Formats: sequence, C-alpha cells, structure tokens
Amino acid sequence: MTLSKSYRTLSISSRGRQLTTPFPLIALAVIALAFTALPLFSLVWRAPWSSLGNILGRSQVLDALSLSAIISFAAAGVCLFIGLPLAHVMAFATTRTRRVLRVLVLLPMVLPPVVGGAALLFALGRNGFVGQWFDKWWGVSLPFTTAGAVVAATFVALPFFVVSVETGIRQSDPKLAEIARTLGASNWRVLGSITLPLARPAILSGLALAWARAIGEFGATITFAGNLAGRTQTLPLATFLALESGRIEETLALSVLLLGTSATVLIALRSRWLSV
Amino acid sequence: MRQAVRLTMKQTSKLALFASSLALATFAVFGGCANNTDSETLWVFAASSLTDAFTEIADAFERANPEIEVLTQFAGSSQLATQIASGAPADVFASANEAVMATVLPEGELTRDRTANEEGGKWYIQGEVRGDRTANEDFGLLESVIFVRNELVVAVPAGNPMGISSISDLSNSNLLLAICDKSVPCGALAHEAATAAGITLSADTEEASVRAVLTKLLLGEVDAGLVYKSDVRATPLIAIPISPPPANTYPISAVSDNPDAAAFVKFVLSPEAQEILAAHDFVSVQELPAQ
Repeated sequence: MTLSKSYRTLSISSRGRQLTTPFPLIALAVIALAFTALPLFSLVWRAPWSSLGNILGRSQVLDALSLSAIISFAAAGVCLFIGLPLAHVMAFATTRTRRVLRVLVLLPMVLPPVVGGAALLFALGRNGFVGQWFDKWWGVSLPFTTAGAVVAATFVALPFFVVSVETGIRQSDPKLAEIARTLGASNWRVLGSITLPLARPAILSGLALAWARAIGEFGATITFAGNLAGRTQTLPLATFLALESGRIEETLALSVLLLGTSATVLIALRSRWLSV
Repeated sequence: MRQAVRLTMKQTSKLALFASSLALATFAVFGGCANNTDSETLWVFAASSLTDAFTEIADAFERANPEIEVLTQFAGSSQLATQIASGAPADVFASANEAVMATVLPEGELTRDRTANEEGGKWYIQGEVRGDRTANEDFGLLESVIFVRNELVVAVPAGNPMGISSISDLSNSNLLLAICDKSVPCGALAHEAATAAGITLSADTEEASVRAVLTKLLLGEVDAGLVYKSDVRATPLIAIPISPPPANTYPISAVSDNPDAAAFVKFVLSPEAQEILAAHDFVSVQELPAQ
C-alpha cells in the first residue's frame, strides 16, 4: 500500500515534472510533435471522405487489401517460426558471437529496402546464387509470386522480431533456467516451461512490430516480387502506383486506409504488447 | 532502481552544441535544396526510356551552352507528371506519350501548330499559373512538340531460350512476362499492341517504368518483356519486332518560364540532338510523316 501510494504522489507531481523541461526544449518538442502529426493530419484532411467507400470497394483495392493482410500475417508467422530459434541461440550465445550475429541480423533494418530487394533477387532469383538451384531441382521460382512477396516482407521484418525476442529472453532471470536444469529438466522442458513463458510479452511485441513492418513493406517487394494486381500488389504498391499515375483521390483513400489500419493496431496493442 | 545518469554542465552544453550544429547542418542542406531553381540550372524531367539518349543530349547542350547546367531526372512519365503537378522544379518535360503530357498541360490542345491555340498566354499546371507560354513561342510553338517516335518490341534474353517468335506467344501463361504498368506509356502501348494482335497478355509483373522491365530481363528473371526498341539497343537482349509496329510519339515542352527551357526544347529538335536520338534507335522526328 505504502509503495503504491508513494508512487502515486510521484506521478501526481507531474506538473512539477513538466516544469523541469526548460522552455526552449518544450518549443522544440512542439516542433517535433507537429512534424509528425501535421503530415498525417493533412492526409486525413485531404481524403475524399464522400467517395471513400466507393474507391475502397473497387476490386483492385480489395485485392490489394486482402493480399496485404495475407502477406503481412504470413511474414509475421515466418518470423515466429525461424526468428524465435535464432533469438534463442543469440540470447544464450557468448557475448562475442552475439555481437557478430546482431550486426548480421540488424543489417536489413538499416539497409534501404530496395537494396534488400535487389539482394533477394541476386540470392533467390531464377539466376540467383541459391535460386538457380531451386529452379533447376524443383522448378520453383520465387520472384513475381505471392510467396516471393512474403519473402520480401519477412526479410525486412525479421530483425524487429529477433531483436525484440532476444532482448526479452536475456532480460528474464537466467538463474531460473539453470535451476530447472539442475532439477533435471531437459532443454525442451526449460524452453517450454521457463524461457518461452517468460519471454511471452517480448514475443508478442516482436510479432506486432514485425507485422507492422511487413504491412508497410514497399521497396523490397516491388524490387523482388514485382507488381501484379491480385498476386503481388499490396496496399503500399497500389498506393505508390496510384500516386505516380496521378490518381490522387485513390492515393488518399488508400493512404487513409493504411493509416487507419496502423492506428487501430497500435491502439489495440498499446500497453499490452508495445508498452506505449 | 535505475541509476540516474547525470550530465555535468559541461556535458550538457556539449550535447546542446552537438544538437544545434546537427540542426544547422540540416537547415543548410534544406536551404541548398531550395536553391535549385537558379536561372543557370535547368531541370529536365524525361521518361525513363530516354535515359541514355537524354544524358548525351544534355551533355551536348551543356557543351554548346557552358553557362547552363542541365540536371536530369528520369522516371516513368506518369510519375514525373505527378511530381511536376505537385510542384517539382521541372523546367522541361519530355514524356513517352501524349496522354501523360496532357495531364501536365491540361489547358491546351496538343498541337504542333501555333494557330490552333492562340488564346491565353500562360502555362497552367493543375489549374495553377506556372509561367508564360511565350517561352516556347520563339520557335513557333505554343504547346508541347513531338520530337521523336519509339517502337515497342518483344525483348527476350540472348539465345531466345523459350523460342518466342511473335507477340502472340505472350498469351502463354507458362511464360514469365514483364510489362510496364498500364499507368505508364509503355504499359498502355503494350495493351494496345496486344489488342491489335488479338491476344491477352499473361503478365507476371507490371513494372513502374520501362527500365524496370529491362532490368528484370537483363537479370534473366523473366522470359520476355515488352520494351522499346531503343531500350534493347545497348543490351545483349534480342528484339523481336511486332508488325505493324506499335509506337509512341514523344512530346516535349517547357514547363516553366525559365528561358533556357525553350532553348533546350529547341536543341532537342535540332539535327545534332535528333542524330543522337536516331543513334539510340529512336525514329527521328524528321522521318515522321507530317501531321
């Protein structure tokens, strides 16, 4: 009781806290806030609200919407399937190994997605480093397929998931796993009963971040998976093509749709998964 | 629990200094960008199929006019048109078809004849006055002028591994086919050509510019693509002609009141520039039937 009470007085004195920010910094903070909010507000302001339903009901837009949903969830799923093991390996690796792995894993996060798309093309394309064998042995070619779009989205989303989960696992008490092991638990048992349950919030927030990155993916997708309505044309690609061909109303409608989706997800997941 | 990180006065002022120099650098960069509309720099926006030819033409123009610096920007015509409409600092626009040019110059008829459209003396872009149309007048043009023609071909990788012989083969869905998106001129032309041949294209990707189609072909990621004859020229790809050849006529226009813009348009119509275009497998405007 006393603890929560003193905590409360701390937060009540938030007025005092605000005053601790020197005035010029508050002015800069306002600029930063306006910098973020104004462009988004302008989208909402210019959006063709009266014809919105009409535009969003077009079959090409619906195709793009369902493709975006399929691709982003599939990418998040793949992140979970292959990213979780990697995060686990990294969390329990030596500091040196972890540093090397981290640089590798984080690269796609820093790299322009277009470069990522080109890299994927040279790796998994029909004449790519690995892709040529896929083509020869199984007749599988990834570019220009929905699976290719999932690959592109996964490529850019994976670092967000791995870093989130790796940090989550390392922040939980390593002694618990050790104790379980001394009590005779197998590696699988420790993973299932200790590590994963403790890392659950990190896994969920990692999934949310990866999904958010995947649904916004553009550069790698258009470079690697191409652009075809109903197969690889996701919402961001449809938005880009609408904008570049001067279909302003459609651009705005699609942008508002993406903005709404992202905002809904952020609000729905706040505090629980994203600690925002 | 968490240990507070305290900054000493000295560290704080260092941090402030760093932050403000970063901000200053940012403003300097932005300021630099805003200065691009200098009268002595000329922004030429051109369709991506013109990339090689216009780079050479810009060099030739700069040699003839050392005081003018030509800056080029190449992309899908419709993308450039959108950029111009939203205020990009273009002085000259060369589009790969007339329909896209008409979106930039919506007020006037596209014509090669000055008598056809005499009323009004201003450029309008999306309803906004952009400059004086007198910029083009000294060579008798009020609106955009056709300067070149480009033919669409079926391009296949060297050796033609899939044995494609005509555009009719492109309805085969087992073939990986790249074309331009229908919003860009080469895509619109591709669909026209398919309709003329009585087929439906079984495309696997609709790229944002003709150069993107070319890249996919050069990487060997697709079996065939519909690109311009001029694109295939400097590549190991094979061009299979389509008969009758579907072609786009390219208009060019000054889109600002920069006097150098008109000079550039004039230069593009000169024999020197037309030769460069012909060398890149464009059909020079002199060879066009009079309209």
